Amino acid sequence: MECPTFRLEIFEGPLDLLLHLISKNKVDIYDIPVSEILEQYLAYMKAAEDFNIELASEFSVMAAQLLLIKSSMILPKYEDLEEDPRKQLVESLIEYQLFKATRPYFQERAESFAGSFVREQETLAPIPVAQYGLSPELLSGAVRMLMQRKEEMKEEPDFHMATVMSRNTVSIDEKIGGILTLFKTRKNLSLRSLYRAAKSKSELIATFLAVLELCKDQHILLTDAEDDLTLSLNEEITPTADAKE
Amino acid sequence: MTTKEVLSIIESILFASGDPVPLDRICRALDMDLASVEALAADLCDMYTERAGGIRVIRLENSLQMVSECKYADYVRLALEIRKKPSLSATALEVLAIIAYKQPVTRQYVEQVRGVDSSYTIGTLAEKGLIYEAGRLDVPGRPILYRTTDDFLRCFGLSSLRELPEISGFNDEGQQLIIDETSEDAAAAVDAPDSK
Repeated sequence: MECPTFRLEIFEGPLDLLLHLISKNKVDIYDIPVSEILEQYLAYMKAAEDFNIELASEFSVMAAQLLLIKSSMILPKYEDLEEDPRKQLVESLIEYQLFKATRPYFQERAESFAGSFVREQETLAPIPVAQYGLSPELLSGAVRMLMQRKEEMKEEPDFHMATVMSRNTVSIDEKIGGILTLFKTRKNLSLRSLYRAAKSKSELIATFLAVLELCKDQHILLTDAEDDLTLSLNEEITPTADAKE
Repeated sequence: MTTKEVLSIIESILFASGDPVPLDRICRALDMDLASVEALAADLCDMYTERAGGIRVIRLENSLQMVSECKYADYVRLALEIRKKPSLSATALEVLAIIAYKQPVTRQYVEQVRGVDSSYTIGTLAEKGLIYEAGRLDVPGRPILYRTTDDFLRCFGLSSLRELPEISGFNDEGQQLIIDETSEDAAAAVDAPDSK
C-alpha cells in the first residue's frame, strides 16, 4: 500500500502548537474548549510519532497538563469563586504569543542587515600599563628582612659547614626559575619564607635579586603583608619559566 | 581644533579600531565632554548617510562603529569569497526576542515563556556573540543573566534597545501596529531597558 505524503508542521514547543490549534479552530483564547483541543493535540503527537519525529518531553508534559485541566473541568464546581483551571495556561499562551509575534520583525531585520561588514582590528600592541611603582618602603623592607635572615643564618648549625663544604654560587636565573616553579602550585609566596629557604649567603643574595628582577619585569606583584612581603603572579603577563635569557 | 578636524579624528579612531569604540574613550582622547562628543557622533553618522557611499558610521548604544553598507553585501561576498552567514533559525529568533525585550533574563525565564528547553539555543547565541552573560541573579542557584550585545544591535540594524518597537504593538502576523507617538513615548519612558 502506498503511503500518502504528509507535511508535518514543526512547532517550537507545546505552546506554539496550542496557539496554532487555537487559531485553526478559531476559538477564543480565554475560553479554550479543552477537550477538543486536547484531542487534536494528541493527534499531532501521534502523527509526529508516526513520522519518527522525536518531540521534546515538554510536549508530553503539556498533554498531561491539558488532561488535568480537562478532568478538573468535568468535576462539579461547588463554589463560583474557584479559579478557572485554564487560567495559568491562558496566561502563558498570551505571553508566548507576544514574543512569537515579534519573530517576523526580527527575521526581516536580520536579513536586511546581514551584510554590514566590519573590519577586524589590526593586531595593535596596546601600551603596556605600568601596574604599580615599587615604593621605597617595600624595597627597604625587603632589604631589612634580608639582613635579619643573614644574622639568623649564622646561628644555624650547618651554616659554617655549608660555607666550607660548598663554594657553589647560585645564579639569579636559577632562582627566578625556582620561584616561578613554586608559583605553579601556589598563588602567593611569602618573601620571608623564600629567604628562609636559602641555605647560603650566595643563595640568599640570589633570592633577593631574583625577586627584584621579577618585579622589574612585572612578572610578579609585591604587596605589603604584616611584617612580611607577599609575592603574587601578575595575571596580565603570563609568565613562562624560560622567560629569562 | 576646528569641528572638521575633530570629526576627522573620530573618523580615524573608528577606522583604526574596527570594533565598536565607546564614546567615553573618544571623550578622553579629545578631552571633551560626552554631550559634545555625542553631538559630533550624530553629525558624523549623518555625514556618512548623506554621502551614501560604501561605508557607514553607526551608533550602537554608547559606542560608534564603522561598517560597510549592507546594500553592497553581495559584491563584497563575491570579491572576498565569503559565505553568507547562515540565517538565524526561528528558535534562535524567538529566544533572542525574549532576551532583547526582557533583559537581563535567566535561561529559566526564557524556558518558562517558550515552554521548552532552550539551553542549546542560548549557547549558540552566546557563541555567535549576540548575547552575553551579564552577571548572576541573586537567588538560590545564582542563575546566569543574559543581555544582548552591541553586535546584536548591529545585526538587526538598531542603534539602541530603545528602538525596539513596543512588544504589544505586534499583531499575529508580526506586523507592527502603528501606535500614535505620544503613547509610544510614554510607554518607552516607563519600561525603557536600562542602557548601561
